[in-house]
Amino acid sequence: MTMGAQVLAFARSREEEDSFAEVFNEHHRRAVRLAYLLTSDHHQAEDVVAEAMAKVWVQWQRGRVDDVGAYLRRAVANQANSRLRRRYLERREASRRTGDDRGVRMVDDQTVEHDVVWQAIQQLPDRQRQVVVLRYYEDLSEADTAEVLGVSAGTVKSSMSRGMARLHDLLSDEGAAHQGGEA
Amino acid sequence: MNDRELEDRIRASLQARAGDVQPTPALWERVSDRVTRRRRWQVLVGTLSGAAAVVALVVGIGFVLSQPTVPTIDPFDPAPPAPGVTVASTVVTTDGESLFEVDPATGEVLHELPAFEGFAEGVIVGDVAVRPGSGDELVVAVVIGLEGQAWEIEVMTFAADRALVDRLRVPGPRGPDTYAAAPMDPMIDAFPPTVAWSPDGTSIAWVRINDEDVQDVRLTVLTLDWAGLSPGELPTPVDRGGADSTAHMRMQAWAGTTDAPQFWMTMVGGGEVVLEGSSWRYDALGMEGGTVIDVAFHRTGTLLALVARPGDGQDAESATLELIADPMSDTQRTIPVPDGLFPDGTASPVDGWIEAAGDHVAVGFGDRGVLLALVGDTVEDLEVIGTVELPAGTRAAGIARVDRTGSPTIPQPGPTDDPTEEDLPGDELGMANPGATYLVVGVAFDDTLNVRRGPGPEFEVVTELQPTGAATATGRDRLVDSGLWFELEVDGVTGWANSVFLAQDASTQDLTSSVIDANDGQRPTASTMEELGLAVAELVEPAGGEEAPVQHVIVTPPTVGDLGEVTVDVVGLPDDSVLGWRLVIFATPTDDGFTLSSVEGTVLCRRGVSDGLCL
Repeated sequence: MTMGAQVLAFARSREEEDSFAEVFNEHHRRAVRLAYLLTSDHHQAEDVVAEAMAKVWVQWQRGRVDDVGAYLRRAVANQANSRLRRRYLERREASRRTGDDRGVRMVDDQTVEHDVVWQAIQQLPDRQRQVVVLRYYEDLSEADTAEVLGVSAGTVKSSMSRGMARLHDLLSDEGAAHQGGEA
Repeated sequence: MNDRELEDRIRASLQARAGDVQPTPALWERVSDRVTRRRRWQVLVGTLSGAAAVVALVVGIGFVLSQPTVPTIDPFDPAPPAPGVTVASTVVTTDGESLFEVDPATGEVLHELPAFEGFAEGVIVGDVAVRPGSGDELVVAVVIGLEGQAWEIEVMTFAADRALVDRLRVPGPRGPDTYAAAPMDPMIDAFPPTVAWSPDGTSIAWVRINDEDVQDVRLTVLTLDWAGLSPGELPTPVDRGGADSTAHMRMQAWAGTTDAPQFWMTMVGGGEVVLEGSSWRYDALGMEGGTVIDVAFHRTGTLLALVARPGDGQDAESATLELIADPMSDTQRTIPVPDGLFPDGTASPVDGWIEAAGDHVAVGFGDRGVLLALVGDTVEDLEVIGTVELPAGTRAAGIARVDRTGSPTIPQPGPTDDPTEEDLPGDELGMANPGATYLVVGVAFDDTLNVRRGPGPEFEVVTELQPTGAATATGRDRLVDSGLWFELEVDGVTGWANSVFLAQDASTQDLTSSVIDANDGQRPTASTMEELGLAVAELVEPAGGEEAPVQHVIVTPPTVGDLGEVTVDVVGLPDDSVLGWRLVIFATPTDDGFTLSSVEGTVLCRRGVSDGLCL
């Protein structure tokens, strides 16, 4: 391939980018919302979606994506999962440093929360929260949720069961028992 | 509440929450940026085989040189420092919008280098080229991409305190008039130009694109009078030998002397180019199956090449990077890159860079911001001394050896006067309770909490609080990037501290029986008081695991007398009212260690206290 041909090939991929913009327009809003429900952080949610979209692009421009929405959902869930893991490690690392320059925990502290259901969902462990969000926001079946998260259907089932039991406890008395018990 | 009602409430809540979330307009730019990087990689990998043909075409025209000569001048590794002078490596990074000076040992940002006019008008593209100035000055050259596809070179001198003291701005590889008449070239757009310092630090070089025809290229050397920063241009007309591929060269390194320079460039799509005098030489550096991402010269004059090789997936995710010393010789050596640098495979090796200064070599990896530091007097001695996380978003960096004289040579940034109400950064939230006493929480016993002149880590430290100290809130607060800060009064001194380390205390309870119950009815034992304290904390609220970001922090050193005693803070409970517990643990010494005697827990509150309960 001559360099001229390379330039042409690259220009073609620019045209693809324009076309990919249409894909973006169709799917990005829902993806950002899902990412937010999984991370509770708008900035992180956009970061998750940007990375997920780029992964989609790699497969999309090779013609390997039949259902962009499903592929993107899976990429978002995976990205959000690794971000949560990283955030936790960062917190642990931060606790070992002198630091009035921290702020990671503040993101959570600042969440002024009026919606008691959302507050309860945020208290769920990550895996339980993921299955609840995918089930009740994305309306996914257990099998589809398992595929998106890359875990077994049994894991989804048990996580959902524990998550719903916890939400039931938290919401039955709107959290009063939870706080009163510790204070 | 039955299951159906619960499900309906969950659905309604998630829909309402999601409905409040609106993507920002910048999201597409972030997606586009990432896509562009992956596309670059595809062009590189996809043209490797083609590159061999290009090289074969031009090799017959070029003039083959011998091995690179050893630089005779090396101001990057100055003479042994005078007494009292510390020479240290420093790294300047960019995220495309700002420049940061970073300590390569820790990854800590020492300074954000002051913005200059170019920042307002464009973004930093390509590499960051750094060299030491006189004393502990720092000189940084970058290429600025301006609106309309024009580029300019900015050379900035920063004083010891990193104030911008001098600045040179010259037309870059494409001036504003140039590009207006020329068609868009997507290859050049994706592979921005780079600059290189001469080994003696007096000149910079880059590939200039001819005004009339973007396919016609000449190498232009900009010479820089160091004393007066007065530029003089020394165009070096070059016969391209009929190879149009030169349009896509990137300047990588400058070897030899200023009078007898060697310019090392890489061609997009593979193949490396050396220019000595007015003669080109083309070579592939023997990197069969790989692409040279960047090159640098070790102090000994040995070429170091950073090479990306496509992995099984032929994409950026599966690619690997190699650092190869002396690649043109039979004795080339691959310096292993430690395993596990990219555990989740998200690196984009095409964005890698390599820089050398003195006996230090630094390798950076894409916007992951990982820095791999190597050191060695000779290439044979080069050893990996560690990896450091650079600031997130780092795209490129340069390294230099600078004098650090006395202590501290880099003054504490930030204002030295108390900021007035109007000058305070951030937003007021009204979360601090005026007159309330706040405990310092979650700070380890061998650490302290800084109290600063203003709300943010950029302000000077005015005093420190001990891990079990306390202070009175004035009621002023500010939400800034680093968190929510409270203004405090500490022994007559007023200052600001990050509220993440502050809490109000509520009631104290005897938790002994609860802890014993949680331990299957047994009194916990351990060989040391420290271990016992952490074991008790674990029983009160488990730490660790992704699902419970709770931290256990020992806030007083363990003491041992008739009874052992230790205090542990348990903080980070997933609750917007209760932050955690302060546990005071007493134990009886035994032959094997310690057995829990009693444990008292004080509830720590995030927002406030009323009648002994957290608000």
